[in-house]
Amino acid sequence: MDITLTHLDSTKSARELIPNTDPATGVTVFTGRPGKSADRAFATTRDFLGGFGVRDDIAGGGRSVSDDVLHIRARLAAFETRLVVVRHADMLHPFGNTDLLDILADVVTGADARLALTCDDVAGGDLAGWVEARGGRVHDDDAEMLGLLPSTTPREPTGIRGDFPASVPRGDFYVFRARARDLLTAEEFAAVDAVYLRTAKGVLTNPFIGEVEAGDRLLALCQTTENPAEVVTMIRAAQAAMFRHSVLLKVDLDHFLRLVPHGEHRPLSQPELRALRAYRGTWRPAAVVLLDAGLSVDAVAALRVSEVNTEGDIAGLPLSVPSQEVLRVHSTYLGLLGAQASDPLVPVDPRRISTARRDAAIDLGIPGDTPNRSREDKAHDRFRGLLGVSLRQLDINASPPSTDQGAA
Amino acid sequence: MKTDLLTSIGIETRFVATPFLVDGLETINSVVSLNRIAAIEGPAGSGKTTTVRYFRNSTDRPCALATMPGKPAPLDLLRFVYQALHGVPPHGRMTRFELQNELLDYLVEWRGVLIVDELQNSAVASMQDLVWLYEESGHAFAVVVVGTNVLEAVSAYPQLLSRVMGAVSFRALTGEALLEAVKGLDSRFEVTPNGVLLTHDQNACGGILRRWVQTAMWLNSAGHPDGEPVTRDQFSDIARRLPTWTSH
Repeated sequence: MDITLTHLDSTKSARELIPNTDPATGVTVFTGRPGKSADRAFATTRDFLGGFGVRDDIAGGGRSVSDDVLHIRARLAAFETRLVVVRHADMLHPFGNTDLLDILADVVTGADARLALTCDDVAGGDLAGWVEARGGRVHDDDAEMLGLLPSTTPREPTGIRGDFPASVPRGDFYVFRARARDLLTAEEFAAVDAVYLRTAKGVLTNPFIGEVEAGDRLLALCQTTENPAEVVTMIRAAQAAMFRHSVLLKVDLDHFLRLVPHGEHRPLSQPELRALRAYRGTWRPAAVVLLDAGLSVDAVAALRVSEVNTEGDIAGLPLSVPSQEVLRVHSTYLGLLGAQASDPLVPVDPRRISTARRDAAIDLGIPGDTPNRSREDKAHDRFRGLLGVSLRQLDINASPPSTDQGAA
Repeated sequence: MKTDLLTSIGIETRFVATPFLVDGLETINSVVSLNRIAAIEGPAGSGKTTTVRYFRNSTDRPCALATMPGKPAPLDLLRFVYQALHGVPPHGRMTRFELQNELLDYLVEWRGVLIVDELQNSAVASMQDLVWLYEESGHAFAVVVVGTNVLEAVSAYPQLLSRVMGAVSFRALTGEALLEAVKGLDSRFEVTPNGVLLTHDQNACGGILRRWVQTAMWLNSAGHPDGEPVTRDQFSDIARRLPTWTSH
């Protein structure tokens, strides 16, 4: 049985010596946590799942330790984990009670992975006894174990320019500039106002003459940036400028934002797909990646377990590596539950499939799907063809009807 | 020393920087600047808590002071730290797991100094919680543990003891240091002969400044004017009222 105990320098932070890893590297790390024996099993399985990126504060957390163990086993197999490192493992061994360690060892070594326990060099006497009784080795030198850890990967750049704020107030065009002035810092407002004034002046001197032309020109403007906040600023400026020409320019903002590489409604990027690891339950991330790959809700509901191969691929569906990883975890978990090849891959009501991406957007802060995309998009749809743009001449002589509370 | 600072740290006489207080502040400042753990121990009334309160009210970093009760319940360390950080007690039904997670999320961003007073009353499980928060946050905050014999108590959990980077042991004041501190404490002691002061210290105070502060308060209640020396008889009368001093 491949179990080791490594003593670490207690004057250094264990997290610094052994940082968290990307589970896709085959190495998973978590920390032993103090607690009463009754709580400790629950806390340990949660922390173990946390090593795979699972978060405890979002939907589908559950409270079952035995189900947690199934989820851990599914991830150990799907990520082909070869090493599980436990920081401060002495906390899993309270007062000589080895029950939790026995379960942990069985789960990890049962997946052909190595269990590398670590603890301070001033502690772990009893733990060493347990490791040796299990046929493991005790190291006072941490070099061998630390050498097995993957190197830290740098964070992927966002691709958004730094001189423009990442978000701006979403008020309508007549309050946009005032709200931006109130809510943004002076530097941010200066950047926003420069774009706003440049766009407004352009439209003031050369107003839109029709809906199609307005859509084309707005589209061209929006394609000059990757920042959705800048798109919002330009559109609001164009609306204000057209209002000066007594024309109400109505724009469906979400249609334009969908065209922006870093906008809110677009296919998920790889880091965003990896954020789906936060779900403990596996069906929701699976539904999100399948919808994101272009399948309709009905098509997702019709998929069978047998259609996902061992790599996490589905024939004819282009899937990125993080999407394959999500499907591998899900199908492995279904397999552990005893699912048959002909069983549905996403065994929930289609209505829950249809809301999965919106739920993920709320839970994880990733882009949501466009709110008004129909099940059957038609190219000749006037609304979509015109990018949700309409122009309406305002009658400057007409007064709005009055009410007790003011103008209607 | 500003009056509002003195009031905020609970001092009712003039502020006196004893050698232990100076040493304690230097140690805390050095250890805290590296986000490590400091320990302040010593007998009751020797100025440990005054020192950490002075530090708390004079540092630029955010500080939270959690004082442990005499017989803490298993979750009391987490609960008291939560209350010190948030100003309100945690929800009654929060589990240890939830408290740990909530505190960890906060402490990672907080980057302040957590002071745990009277830690010697806590069980090893509470010290485990403290070490776990400190380690899981990646040493994102500094810790000062305070209490009578706190180092001895901490030695029951070597993982905490080994992380203590600096410690100061406060003791009862004696000799010149005692006279300097006592005279600095009150204008009436300043003009009282040294022999009279030392006799009262032997009879009632045992080198503990808290006893001297109580002596000054007895003088106040008797209407003894500022700048007037205190006689042996007046000290004897006060010594009779003060409880018998037992040195730790």
